This record gives sequence, C-alpha cells and structure tokens, in this order.
Amino acid sequence: MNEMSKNENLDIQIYNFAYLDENTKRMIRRALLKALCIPGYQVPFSSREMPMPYGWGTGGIQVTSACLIPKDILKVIDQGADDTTNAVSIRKFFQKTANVAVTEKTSDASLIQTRHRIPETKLKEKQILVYQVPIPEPLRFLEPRETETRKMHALSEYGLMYVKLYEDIAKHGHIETAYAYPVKTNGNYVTDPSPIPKFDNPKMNNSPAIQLFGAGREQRIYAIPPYTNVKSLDFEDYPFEAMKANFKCSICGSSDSYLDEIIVSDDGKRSYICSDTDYCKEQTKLNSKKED
Amino acid sequence: MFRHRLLQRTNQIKFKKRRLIMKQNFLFQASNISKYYGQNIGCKNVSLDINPGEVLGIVGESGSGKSTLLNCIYGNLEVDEGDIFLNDKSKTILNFTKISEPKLRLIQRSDLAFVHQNPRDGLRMNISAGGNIGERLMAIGHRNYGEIRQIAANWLEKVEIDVSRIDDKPSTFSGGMQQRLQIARNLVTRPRLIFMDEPTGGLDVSVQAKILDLLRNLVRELGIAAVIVTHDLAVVRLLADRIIVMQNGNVIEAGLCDQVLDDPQHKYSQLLVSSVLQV
Amino acid sequence: MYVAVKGGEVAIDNAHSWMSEIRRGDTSIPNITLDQISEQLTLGVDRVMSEGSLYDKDLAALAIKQSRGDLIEAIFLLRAYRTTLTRFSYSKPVNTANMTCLRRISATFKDIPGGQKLGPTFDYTHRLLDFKLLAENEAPISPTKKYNDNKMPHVLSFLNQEDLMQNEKDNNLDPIDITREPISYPTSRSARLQALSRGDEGFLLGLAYSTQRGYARNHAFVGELRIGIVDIELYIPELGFEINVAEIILTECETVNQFQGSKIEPPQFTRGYGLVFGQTERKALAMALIDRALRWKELGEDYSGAPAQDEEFVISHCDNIQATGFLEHIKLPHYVDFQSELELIRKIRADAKVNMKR
Ligand SMILES: Nc1ncnc2c1ncn2[C@@H]1O[C@H](COP(=O)(O)OP(=O)(O)O)[C@@H](O)[C@H]1O
Ligand SMILES: [Mg+2]
Ligand SMILES: [Zn+2]
Repeated sequence: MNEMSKNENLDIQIYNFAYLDENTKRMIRRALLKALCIPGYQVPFSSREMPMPYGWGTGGIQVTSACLIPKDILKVIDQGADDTTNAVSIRKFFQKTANVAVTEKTSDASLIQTRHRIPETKLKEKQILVYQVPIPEPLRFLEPRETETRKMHALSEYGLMYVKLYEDIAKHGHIETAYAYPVKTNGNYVTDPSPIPKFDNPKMNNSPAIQLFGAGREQRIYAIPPYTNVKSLDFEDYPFEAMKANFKCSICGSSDSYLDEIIVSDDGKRSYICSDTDYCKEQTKLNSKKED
Repeated sequence: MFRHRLLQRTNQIKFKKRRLIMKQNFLFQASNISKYYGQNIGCKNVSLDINPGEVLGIVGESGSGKSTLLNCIYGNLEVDEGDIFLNDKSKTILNFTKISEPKLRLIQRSDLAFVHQNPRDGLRMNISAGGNIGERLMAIGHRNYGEIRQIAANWLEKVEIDVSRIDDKPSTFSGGMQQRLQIARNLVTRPRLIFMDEPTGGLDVSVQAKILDLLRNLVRELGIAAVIVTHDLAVVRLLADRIIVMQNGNVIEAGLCDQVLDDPQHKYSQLLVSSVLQV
Repeated sequence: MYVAVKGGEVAIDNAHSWMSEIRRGDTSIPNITLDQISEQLTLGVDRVMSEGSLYDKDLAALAIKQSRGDLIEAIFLLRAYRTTLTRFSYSKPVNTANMTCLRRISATFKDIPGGQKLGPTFDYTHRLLDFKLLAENEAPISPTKKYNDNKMPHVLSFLNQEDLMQNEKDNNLDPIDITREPISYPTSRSARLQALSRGDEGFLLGLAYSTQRGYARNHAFVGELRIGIVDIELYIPELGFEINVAEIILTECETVNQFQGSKIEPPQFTRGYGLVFGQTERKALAMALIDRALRWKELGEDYSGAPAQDEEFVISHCDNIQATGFLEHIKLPHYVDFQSELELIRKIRADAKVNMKR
C-alpha cells in the first residue's frame, strides 16, 4: 500500500460517512425537510465548521453530506466545469470521506453539487441539485440587517426590491442584474438563486429535480421542490430576459449553451467556449457521430 | 378665577359629549397613552380621536411631547400605557398595542402614512424621485414600469415639481422640494390617515406657505384625515379642524380649532396664543 | 468509475506539496517541536485555543506548526477538528471565585481581600528588545514564595453587598450553545458572550477601543481582572455526583460601569463581563467593554448608533473564521458571473450609443 492510499483509509476510519456525524446530519435533514415544505423560505440551521473555509461551499458541502448515501453517484461543478480547482477539491473530499462513485456526466449523476451554474443537460426526477450559496438573502444589499429582512419576507414587503429594478430601468433602460437575479418561488418568497448567471434562471422553473441551497457561513438552508413555479422578478412591460454571449462554442459549435469568453491572443482576440464542460463534450461526441 | 374654572368645565363637558357622538364612525382613537423615557415623561395619559377626513392639530412648545405622542399613535414607538384603535377599511377595529408587528406594518403602509419633519428621514435619498414615489405602489403590487412612472410623474406635477426631475435624486432638490416629494411619496397610495411632524419646520417662510397651501388642497381633495404636529399656531389655524394643546407631556386643552385659538381657557394656551399675536 | 485527472487536480497537489516543503524551511535547522510551541509560545497557543473554542494545548500547538504561525489559519484548523468531536456532556458552570489565581488585579480598590497579585505580565516591562534572548539557553529563575491560598473573592461582590452593583439575576434558562443552534436576533446575553469569547481579538480590540473614544462610551473601570486555574466538573449520572475532569486556565474580567438609574431603580453600577480561555488579557478586557456596550437596551440606555452597540453588527462580524473565509473566497473563479456582467454592460453601452446618435 502506498503512502497516499494509506492516509485515505485512515481518514475514512476517523470520520463518519461523508464526514459529518449522524446527529448533525439529522439536524440538517430536518432543516431540509422544512425548507422543502416552505419553498423559498430560508431555514436557519446550525452550520458546522467544515474543513474548508466559509465562503468556499461549506453550506453546499453540509447539504450534500446530509443527503449522500453510499450508492449515490456524485458530480461536482464550479463555473459549470468539473475540473476547476474548487470542484476538484470538494469532489476529492467526498471521495475520501464517503467513498462514493463520481462522474462528470450530468445525466449519470444522482446528486450534483454546483457553484454558479445549472447544468445545460435537462435534469430529471430523482436527481438532486445542491447549490453553494454565499449570501442567501436576496434583500441583503438593500437592507443589511437580518432582523429587518426577515420581517420584510414575513410581510412580503418587496416594494424595495422592485424599487431597485425600477431604478435600473430608469437609469439604463434595462434591469442591471446579470447574476444572482432574484426570483419569486411558488408565488411567495423572493429567493436568491445563488450567483448563477441569469441565463440559468429559467431552468429553475418547474424543474423535475430537487433543488437544495446551502449557505454555511450565513447558517441558512432553503429549497425548491420539484415542479415548483419559479419566476424571475420583472415588470410587465420589461419582462425578464435570459442572456448569453451571442456566439457559438468554438469547440462543439453549440449556440444554445452558456459561453465563457477567453482571451486567445496578445492583441486581445476573443474566443467562446461552453462553460458546461460535460455538455460541450457530449455535443462534440454527437457531432462526430453525425459526421460518421 | 371661579368663572375661569367653570368655563373650563363646560368646555370639557362639551368635548366629552362630542366624543360620544363621534364614536360611532371614528377613524382612529387613542386612549390614555403614556410614554416614559427612563425617569422623563415623554407624554402622559393622552387621549384623542379622529374622524374620517378630519385634520387634528397638536400644538405645544418644543419638548412638550408632541413628537413622542405622534410616534406612539403611529405605532413607531412602543407605548408604556394606553390603547390605540384604528377602524380599518373593513370596519374592524384594530388595537395597535395588541396586533402583531406584521399586521401593524401592513396597516402602516396601506391605511396610514407618516411625513417626517426632516425629509431625509422620510425619503430614500439615494433613489430617484420617481423611485421614491413608486415604492409604495410597487409594495402593494403594481408591476407595470410605464404605469408606475406615469403615476409618479402625475404626482410630481401635483406637488409642483418639474417632471423632468423624475430621475434625479432627492439630494439634488431644495428643502422645500424634498418635503413636497415626501408628501407625494406618502399620498400616492391614498392612505386614510396621514401623520405629519412639523412638516414645514425646517423651511423658510415663503416655502412654508406654499407647502401648507398644497397640503390643505390635497387633504381636502382626497378626503384624507391628518394629524399634524406643530409649534406654529398659524399652521394649525390654516389646516386643522380641531386641536389639542400639550405641555410637559400632558394635554391641557382640546377643542375646535377656532374656539381654542380665539378663546383659550388654559393659562398656557393663552400664553401660546398671545405670544403668537405678539409676533 | 473513471474520472480523468485534470490540470486542476495536479495543480492543487503540487501547490500543497510545495507548501509543505516551505513549511519545514531550512532543513539544517532543527524541526520545531510541539512542546517548544506550547511551552514557549504560550500566548499564541492560548489565543488559538480561545478563538478555536477548544481547550487542548497540544492540538493548538500542532495547528500553529501546521499553519506556519498564521494564527487565524490555526484557529480554523482547531474549529474544523472540533466539529468532528462528539459532545457527550456539558460541564457544571465553572466557579471563577475559587480560581487559583496567577494574576489578580483591581483598578477600583487599592487593597482587596486576598491582595493584588501582578503575576506574569508584560505590564510595566520596558518594551526594549532583549538581546540576551539571542544567546540565552539557561532558564531565568524568578523568586518564589509559597502560594498564599488566601481566599480571593470577586472584588465586585463587595459592591454587591452594598447593592451598589447591579445584581446579575439567574434567568434559570439553559444558556444557548451557539455552536449547536443558529443565532437569531435579538439574541440572549449568553449567546452574545459566547460569540464574543470566541470572536476575533483584533476585531474586539478595535470595537472596545471605539467605545473608549466616545462611540457608546460607558466609563469602564477594571473592577477585577483575574487569570488562573479553575476546575472543570462534570456531573456523572451513574455516580450521582460531580467529578473533576480537568483544570484549565481562564482569564476573567469584570468592569464596573456607571448607570444613570431609571424611574424604578436608583443609580447603580453595572457590569461588563469577559471570560476567555487561557491567558488572554487584552481579549477579556475588550470583551467586557463590548458586552457592556451591547447591554444598552436591557439597561434602558440610549442607542447612539455606535457600532459597539449594534448587536447584529458586532455578533455577525466578530468571528474571524467566517470573516476570513468569505473575504478570501473572492479568490475563487467568478468568471461565469463576470461573463454575465460583460454581456450586460456591452448591451447597455450599445443601446446608449444608439440613443446618443438619435
Ligand atoms: N429618545 C428620547 N430619550 C429621552 N428623552 C426623550 C427622547 N425623545 C424625547 N425625549 C424627551 O421627551 C420630551 C418630549 O419630547 P418630544 O416628544 O420630542 O417633544 P416635542 O416634539 O414636543 O418637541 C422632552 O422632554 C424630550 O427631552
Ligand atoms: Mg418634535
Ligand atoms: Zn461547447
């Protein structure tokens, strides 16, 4: 046995399955059940100190840990990609502590933990999408006080939220929010979709998958049950508009997926590629099949 | 001296009688309100009521407890003693000191409005004039940008602010304009009762006159009841139907506006009235 | 299942092994031992234990070594480890009146029962670099005296006797455990004190300082500051009595503050309270000042808008592990969001140009 795998076995012995102890998991599962019963409502939970820094996905990690079972197939993405450093680090953590199977294929995964994106491949029933959330409070930047924002939700006092949208249009002719674009869940609570680009917002609506949101530092969990109405805030005469770069992926040629802009030469030439690396791979495969 | 007391008595009786009659369809009623700041009295044992469409003036020198009383009955300050009743749109009588905070807030932004002495306290200074007026509309469910903007523009016109200033922030407005904007922001959803704390306090005389005129017309036109706090008797003479006079946190005289101003019974009211006449 | 190892994975592994190498430093110099850290960098160890909320000198020393002396990183390591420990019981409240004091001073009375005791302190040292330490290998010897086991009652208890000091009433509620229940505002004093006790020393220091400079000034005197050893007692149901399970060092600070009195109460002194693991004097003092500032509501004082009076502001920002995590997370890739902003700003600029031409 080499040094590395010896250490890994040691870790598995020291820590419980998926790291957290069963009592903590039970506490989180209770919060999750409550969250699913009150879609979009932020349930306070007693977030634990994780071996990663707050702000680096500790909320999502705790939710994943509480949901994970040995036969799960886990996918972890950051910025839509499986190979970004933070995704790699979180995936490794669960391989080490839960020894679960991992995959990059969206359609194969039973649980997907994500930061900043929703996969392009349509999610299915029985899949769980776990979002990492930095600031769960959609009203936070309008009102810094938790005591106030909780009241605002309780009274659905969302006037101020719309004032912000009003001001954007008055100033720029557009709603200025490009990511973390607030939504109304089930016609009730205004909810922060986590910092996904607004291009992804429509995917939240009526999704067959369970969507769970974990904010570790802020000690909040919220959820969107399957097939729930999720509406991006807008005005009747300035409807919400999903938006992406108007180009094709320079790898797979796809024009319907969200694109990352990359600078490819010293004189600043740009190129565009899919942000969802799995989707890009699948599209490329499909293309080569067609050619065959 | 005897005559003086007798007069005071009859006045009280008259006042009580009127109150009994009004109770049937009162809009708002506060009974035995007391508020203490540590050992200091804010206001003590104050009762008042307001009928639909009526303007009540609260007068008294600085420190007499006017603002305290106003904030208590609006529900901004927790009272130490007393009850506050509102006869709401559906004719149910609500007690502010008993209802939940959510309910109170809901009432504050639908049935009631509050105009602060300092417009900075009542406006969002970093939001455009249009946004300031639109907020209450959006809060009650307006979702059409064009419409909201149109209503905001109409209200700017009503309070005599140039519509071209709709996207400017209040910080670029003069004091008088800010106060007019605050009034528009409060009236846009047509509350049934508006509270005002020295609404012309910080303004110079010519600007004051204009705002008072505007207020009088708006309140009459929309049939809104109002409670207006001021240390300036000229203001109540212009606006109020009835007044109460406060000293050291107590109400020392109450009655019809003209009656109290023309024939003050209490020594302190007499002093107040005469000091105005001297000016 | 096959997962391709990507650039990201290799980069992370390489970065970490480089870090380990650098941590060790020049290998011709002996490896620092945990004993050396816990014996000679005691105050650093104490800070890590207190803000890590785990009293274990060896683990704290290990954390300091592993973190290359970055104390916040070391606190983080201890906190993360703490999460994995099972909580099998709560101890009895410690009785600090029975503390075996290493140090005990009062700034309010010249002479006190049990006596003032300076103890091992930097106070009154001249802050001159001591070049003897460069060469030193012999242990300095300090004069010894038999420990005087006079009782050292709390100084503030004498004010209590005269009713000059506000009596802290037991509300008979179990204290909240903020590591087991999320904090909600307004919160209880027990939750506040816990949060402060494990809060960042620098943050608390700055806030406490601000109260002294007039941002919610509350005229604090150090009624008593004591550092010493207390027993930790655990009730064992099977035995039916308490047993001593540990001895730990604590720093306790009680400030005496003035209070105006109210309609129902004549003027009385009030208390700010600080209690921290280890020898952590600065932190305990700061904690006491902030505790007192946060009590304005309960004592019927004015809210002057000072940061130290704002419970939500203080408590939600005093934890350095939360703060550093969120601050540092902006190093993570954000290019998806940035891309979204790019698209929007291009669109707005294009529209603006069209409008300007018109
Ligand atoms: N926040 C407060 N704390 C303590 N005393 C106050 C406070 N606000 C007002 N007071 C006192 O209560 C009394 C009434 O004040 P206020 O209601 O502001 O009077 P007015 O509006 O008639 O000038 C005054 O003696 C004032 O000093
Ligand atoms: Mg006043
Ligand atoms: Zn592609």
